[in-house]
Amino acid sequence: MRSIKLLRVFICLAILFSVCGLIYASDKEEEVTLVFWWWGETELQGLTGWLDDTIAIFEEEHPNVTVEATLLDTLSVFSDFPTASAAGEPPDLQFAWNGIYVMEWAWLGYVEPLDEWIPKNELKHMIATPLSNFKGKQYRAGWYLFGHGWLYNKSLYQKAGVPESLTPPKTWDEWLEVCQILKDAGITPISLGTQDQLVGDWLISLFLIQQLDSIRDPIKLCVGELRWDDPRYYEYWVRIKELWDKGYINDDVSSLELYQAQDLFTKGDAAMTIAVGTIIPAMEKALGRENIGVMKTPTFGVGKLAEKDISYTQGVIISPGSKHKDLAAEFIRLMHREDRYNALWDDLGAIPADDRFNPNKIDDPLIRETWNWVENSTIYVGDTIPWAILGEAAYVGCQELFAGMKSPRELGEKAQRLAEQWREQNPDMLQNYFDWLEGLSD
Amino acid sequence: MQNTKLLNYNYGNFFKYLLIILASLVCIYPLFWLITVSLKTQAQYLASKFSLPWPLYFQNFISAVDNEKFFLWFMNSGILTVGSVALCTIISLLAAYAIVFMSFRGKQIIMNSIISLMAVPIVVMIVPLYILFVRIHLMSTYPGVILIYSAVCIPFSIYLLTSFFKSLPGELLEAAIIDGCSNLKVLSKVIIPLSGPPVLTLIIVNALWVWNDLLIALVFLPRTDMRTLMVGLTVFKSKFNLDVPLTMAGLLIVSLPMIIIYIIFQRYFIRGLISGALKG
Amino acid sequence: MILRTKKFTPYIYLFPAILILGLIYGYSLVRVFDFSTRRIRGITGVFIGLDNYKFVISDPVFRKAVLNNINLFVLIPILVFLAIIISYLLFEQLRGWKVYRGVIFMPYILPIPVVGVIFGYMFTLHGVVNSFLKLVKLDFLAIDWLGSPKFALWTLMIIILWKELGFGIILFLARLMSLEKEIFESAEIDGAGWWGKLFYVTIPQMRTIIEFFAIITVINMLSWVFAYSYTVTLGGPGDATMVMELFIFNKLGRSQLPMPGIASAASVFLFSGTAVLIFFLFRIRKEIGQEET
Repeated sequence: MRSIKLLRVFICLAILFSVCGLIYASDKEEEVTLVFWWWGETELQGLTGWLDDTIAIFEEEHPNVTVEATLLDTLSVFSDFPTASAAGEPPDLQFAWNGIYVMEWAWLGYVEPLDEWIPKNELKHMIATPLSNFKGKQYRAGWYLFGHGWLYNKSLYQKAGVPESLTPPKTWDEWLEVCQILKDAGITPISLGTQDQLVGDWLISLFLIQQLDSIRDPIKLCVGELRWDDPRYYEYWVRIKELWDKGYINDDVSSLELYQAQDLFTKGDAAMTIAVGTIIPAMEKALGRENIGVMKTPTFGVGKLAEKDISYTQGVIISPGSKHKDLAAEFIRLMHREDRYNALWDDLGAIPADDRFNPNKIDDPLIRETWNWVENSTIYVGDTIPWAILGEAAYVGCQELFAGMKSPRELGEKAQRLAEQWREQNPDMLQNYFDWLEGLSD
Repeated sequence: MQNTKLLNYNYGNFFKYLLIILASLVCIYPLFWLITVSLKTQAQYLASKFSLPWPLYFQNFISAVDNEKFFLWFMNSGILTVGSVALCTIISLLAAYAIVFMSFRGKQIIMNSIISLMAVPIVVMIVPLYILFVRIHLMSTYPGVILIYSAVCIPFSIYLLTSFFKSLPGELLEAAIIDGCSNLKVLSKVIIPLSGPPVLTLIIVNALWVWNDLLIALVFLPRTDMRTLMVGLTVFKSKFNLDVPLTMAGLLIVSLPMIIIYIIFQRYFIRGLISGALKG
Repeated sequence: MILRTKKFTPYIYLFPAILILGLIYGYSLVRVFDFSTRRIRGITGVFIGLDNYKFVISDPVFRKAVLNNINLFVLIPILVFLAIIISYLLFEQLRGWKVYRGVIFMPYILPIPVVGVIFGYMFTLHGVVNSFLKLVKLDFLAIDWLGSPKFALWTLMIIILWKELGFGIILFLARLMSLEKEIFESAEIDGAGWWGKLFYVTIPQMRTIIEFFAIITVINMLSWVFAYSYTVTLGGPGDATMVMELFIFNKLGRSQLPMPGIASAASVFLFSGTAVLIFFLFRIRKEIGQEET
C-alpha cells in the first residue's frame, strides 16, 4: 500500500519536473553552447590564456552563446573525437593535427568542409596547408604554426673549437665534422630520447623528406606505388644510425624521454637537439638568446625536397554533427581576427597560422629564422602516413634502431610489411588515399 | 658437542637475520629514496642521486600541491574511491545476505558465476564498455566510472562477505526473527553491526584498488579535468619530469593516503587479502 | 540458518548486484565477441567474419606480446621460492619480525604508476642503480636496464617481483600460522634441520596455498601487468616489453582511427586463455575449503 502511494508521489514529481523543464527550455531557446575539444597547451604554454580571452570576446559579442572549451591531453584528443562523432555527440569544434588526422575523419563523415561556412576570401588566409584539402574542399583552418628543426648551443660550439664556417653545419659531411669536434672536446654532440617514442615522428619527418621528390611520395609508399624496402626510402635510418654508431648521440638515448633528452640541451650538456619552434622562448630564457642558434637538418638527401624546410601547422575543424556550424565558423573567424592573431604573437611568442600576420612583428631573430623555414617549407611526413604504419615503423622503429634490434634495412622491410597489413585491414580507406593523392600537387 | 651446536645455531641465526634484513632493505629502499629525493632541490639531486638531503627542502611539496590540476585530480580520485566503495559495499552486503541466509533457486550458479568473474581480465571489457559509454554519454563522468569500479569490486566483496556470514552463529538471527524484525531489519540491526571487521577490510582493500587503478581511469576519463591522480601522474609525467624532486614529491603525496591507511589498519588490510584467498 | 522469505525476496536483494554485474561484465563479454567480427568505424561496423582474428594472429607485435606474457611466468617459481623462505623466516618470529613484515608488505600498497615512475628513474642508464653499481666497482653490471631489449623484460620482472612479493609472503605466513605447532616440534625431535623442516614438513603442508598463489600469479601475469608495461616502458624498446593488455589498449586508444575490432579479437584470445585458468582456480579453492574444515 505504502509503496503505491510513494509511486504516485514519484509520478507526480516526474510530471512536474518535465513540465518545468519544457517551460524552461522554450523560454531559453536562444541559449547556445559551443563545445570545443582542444589540445596544444603541451607544446605551447599559455595557449589556455589566449583561448580564454578569445572565448570572453566571443561571448561578449554573442551574449546568448557559451563556449565550453575542454582541454584534452595527448592521449585522448585523437581517439575520442571519432567515437563521439560516430555516437552522434561530437563537439562543435575540434582541434586537429594535419594530413591524415583530418582526412581519415573527413572520409568517415566527421568533418565539415569549411568552404560553405567561411567566406572564401577569409578562408584562404587561414593557412592549413594542402594536406587539409580533399577534392577541392578545405576541411581545416590553421591556428598557430612553427618551424621544426634543430637547436644548437653556440657557446659549446666555440668551446669545442668548431670553426665559424661550420656554424651551423649545412651538409651531412659538415655535420659529421662538427659532431666529431664536439665529441673530441668531451661534449655530447646530439641529445635524443626514444623512451616515450615521440621523437620517432620528428625523425621520420625531418629525415625521410630529403629522399622524396614529391609530397605525394609518402602516401605512395603506403598505398603501394612505392616500396618502403627500397633502399632510398630507408636511407634516413642509415643516416641516423651513422650518427649513433659514431657516438654522436647521448648514450642513454634509449632510457630517456623526449623532454628529458631536450633537457640535456637546456642544461648545456649537449650541443644540439631536435626541437619545435614553440620551445624557443623557453630555451632563450634558459641558455641566453646569444648562446643558441637554430639550424635545419643538414642535407644528405637526393630527393627534390632535400633542401626544403619543415614547419607544422595546428588547426581546428568543425563537426558536421554540430547544430551550430554557423557559430562554430564565427568562432574560427574570431580566432583569425587581426587582434586575436596578433595576440598569439604578443602574448605567447607563437606564430599565428594566418598569412595576414605581419612577419616583421617577429623581433626575435631565432623565431624569425624559423619563420623563413615556414615560408620555404614542405609537408610534415608524419602527417601523411596512417597511424597503423607510422606508430610501428617510426615510433617503435626509432627505439628498435637505437637499441640495435633492427638494422635500417630491416626497418624498411618492417614498414613495407606494415603497409601491406594496413591495406588489408583498411580496404574501406584505401580508395580515399588514392583520391587524396590525386588532388595533391607539388 | 653442545658448543658446536650452539655455534651452528648462532651461525644460522646470523644468516637468517642477514636475509630478512636484506629483504627489508630492498623493499624499503625505493620508498626511502623517493623520500630523500623529494626533499632535495633539483641541483642537489643532480649533484648526487643518493646522498641524504641536507639541508631539507620542503618547497617541492608546496609546489606539487599548489597546482590547480593536482587538487582537481586528488578530488576526482577521492570522489571515485568513496563513491565506488560505498556502492560496492551496499550492493555486496545485500547480495551476500541473500545468498547466505535465504534459499532460492539457482543459488549455486549465481555464486559460481560471481566467483569466476574475479578472474576475468579487465582489459577484455574495455572495448565494449568504451563504445557503450560513448553511446550513452557516460564517458568522463563519475557515475559511469563508479559503475565500472563497483562492478569490478563486487565479486570479491560478495565472496568475502558470504564466507564471513557463514561463520555467524544462527541463534542471533533466530532471536531477531522472534522479535519480529523484517528481513531488512535483521540485516541492518543484527548482521551489519557484527560485520565491522570484514566490512572494514573490504572497504580498505577496494579503496586501495580503486585509488591505485590506472587502466579504467585512463580509458574512461579522457577529459583533463576528470583525470585521476594515477592517470594525471602518468600522462603528465614527461611534462613535469624535468624537475625530478618535484615529481617525487608528487608521487609521495599520491601514495600517502594509502600508506597512512595501511599503517593504521594494517591488521584489517592483511586479514582481508588473506581471507580472500584462504576461505572457500 | 535460513530465513523464511517470500519467493521473490532473495532476488530483490540480489537485483542490484546482478544488474550491475550484468551490465558491466555480462554485456561486455557478449559484445566483445560481436565486435571481434566487425571492422568497427566509430560505434559499429561491417561484418568481416574472422578477419580480425587473422590480423591479430599474423601480427608480429601480438605474437611478441603473448610470448612476453608467457615469459613473465618465469617469475612464478621465483616469487614462490622467495615468499616461502621469507614467510618461513618471519614465522620463526625473529626479533622484530612484525616490523619486517610491515616493511616487506609495503611495496604491495604503493600504486603501480608510482612504482613505475620511481623505478623508471632508478633504472635509467645514468640512474641511481647504475651509479651505485659503479660506486661499488661492479661496472660490468651497470647495463641499460630499460633501454636494452635484452634486459628490459627482466627489469620489468624485477619491478613486478618487488611489488608483488609481499602478497605471497603474507599469504604463506597466514597459512603457516594456522598450522599446528606440534608438527614442527615432532619434526625437530626427529632431528630435522632448518632446511629439512622446510622441505619435508612446511612445504607439503602449504601445497594448496602455493598452488593457489601460483594460479593467481599466472592470471595476473596474463591480464594484470598493463600498468607496469605502460608506466615503465610503454612496451618498448621496440616490442621488448609489449604485453597483450597493452596491445589491446593501443589498438583502441592510441590512434586517431581506433581499431576496436582488432582490439576485441585480441581480447577474446586473452579471455579464452584466462577462462581455462578459472577452472583450475575453482578446483584449488575447493581443496582449500576442504583443508580449512
